[in-house]
Amino acid sequence: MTELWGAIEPYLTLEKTFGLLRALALLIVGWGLAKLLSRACWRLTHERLARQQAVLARRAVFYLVFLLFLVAALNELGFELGVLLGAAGVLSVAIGFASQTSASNLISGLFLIAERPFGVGDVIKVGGTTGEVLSIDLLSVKLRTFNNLYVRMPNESLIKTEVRTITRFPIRRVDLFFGVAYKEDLDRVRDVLFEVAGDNPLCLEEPAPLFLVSGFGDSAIDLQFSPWGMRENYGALNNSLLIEIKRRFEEEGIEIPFPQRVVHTAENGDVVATPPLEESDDAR
Amino acid sequence: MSEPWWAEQDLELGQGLRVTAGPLQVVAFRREDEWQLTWGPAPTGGGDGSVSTVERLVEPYEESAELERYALRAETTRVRILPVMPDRPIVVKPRVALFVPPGESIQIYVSSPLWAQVTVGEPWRILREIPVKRLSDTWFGGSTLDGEVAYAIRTQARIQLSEISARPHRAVTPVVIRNHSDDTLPVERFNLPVTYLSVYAGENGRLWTENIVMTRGEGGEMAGLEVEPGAPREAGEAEQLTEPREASETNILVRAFSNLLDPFLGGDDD
Repeated sequence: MTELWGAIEPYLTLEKTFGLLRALALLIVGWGLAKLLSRACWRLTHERLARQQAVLARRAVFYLVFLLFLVAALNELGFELGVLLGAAGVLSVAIGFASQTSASNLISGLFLIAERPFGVGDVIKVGGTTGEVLSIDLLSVKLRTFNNLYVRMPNESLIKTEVRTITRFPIRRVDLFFGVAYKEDLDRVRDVLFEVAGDNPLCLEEPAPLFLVSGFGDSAIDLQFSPWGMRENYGALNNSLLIEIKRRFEEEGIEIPFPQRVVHTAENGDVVATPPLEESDDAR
Repeated sequence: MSEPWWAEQDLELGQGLRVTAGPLQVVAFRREDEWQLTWGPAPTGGGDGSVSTVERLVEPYEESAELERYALRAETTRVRILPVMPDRPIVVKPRVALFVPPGESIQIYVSSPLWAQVTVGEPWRILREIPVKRLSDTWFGGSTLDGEVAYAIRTQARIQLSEISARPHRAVTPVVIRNHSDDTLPVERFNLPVTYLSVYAGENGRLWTENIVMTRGEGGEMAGLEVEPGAPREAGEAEQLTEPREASETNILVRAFSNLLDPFLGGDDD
């Protein structure tokens, strides 16, 4: 114990104690001032900017002011700032290499906050993940998927890939793809589809539904039918339309064919048997 | 017509009320410390749905499974089912194309289906609002990005009042469309801002809203909208039944006439 005291004693001169106290005072004043200024910054910006941006501005002001006082305090303690900054320069290169991923996420986060492709509460789809945005932070975006999982998305990947904001606009188009048999009259199919859409109150009258004959498929004429609905009714509209279309097609005798293939059996290059073509209704 | 469906009624404990307004039937029952409410399509509302009946019930109502209960501690005997305008604007589409040349103006009558507002107690408390008829949703705007969600109806855009059949579940709005621009105004569809309108009961039992004047200025789809306060003169001696949902300023600029959207925009992206 006495040895330890002996080692410390020479450093405890009056001058050094004063320096320490001054540094401590600087830190306390700096902390208070930084807090005060960041609060003022919050008051100025939080109504004009988005929440994330205002939070970022508040933190930036706080750390900047506090850093200035920290540097002054270190100076007071007798550290030579030039040497310190030089060391910091070398250190920052080392840290930069070591924390490449974090740094890139951080920069991406800043861009995300500035660009605002979505906000907290929006539903977004990134790759195969769809979920509600819980928070947009500097390193990552947190999502809650619809089966209630908590997903952390690195900001870098959000900047690099396609992000779909599903809740951006109030109306959405429901795209239904199906086929009808080659024997059907397409005008009648079209009329039935438009009647189904017209009878469904969730389906918007305008914009009018899109009806597209997209091509002649292997076993059916491929159709696309896309009515519009309000965003919050998307699921309900999709289900009610499919159920109603199936019911109406059955009533009207319009067939949605299964994939079918005609097989010819051949022996030495000669066709020996062709099975009789069955009515595809029998397949049901 | 004996008693209008919006008349105030007093109910004893255990008594009920069945009100039919066109295609809608509402049943309210008074129980101890609660009101029970159920509704559905009117049994006789087939035809044109121009029937309106008020009927006292003593037996508990069993037909419908969908029953809602409202707890009200205070002893309340009175109930009133009131007509109110729908909660979103209505996009009116004339069945036959209508054109207003430059400098001309036209007055048409538009009748829109109402909502039934069930109110009980002292002071009046709103239990629920039920649309007399579920109208189809629609979008009103120049593009799919910019516009508003509305309800859609079609109209004959009658010019003569006598041509409109009086129906108890619809309110008639006289609409004046003025064209002050240099181009002919095709009235393919226009936006009836019903949330700014109140409902009046006219002399002959017909329901009315305020008169609306829409003035189309130089170009564009926006129109100056003026809601003339008070019942229209066609209504005669009228009583105001309900207030508008939104307070209207004296002169509002609304998006009134919209151009057709191209349904083929967008291609096959999901």
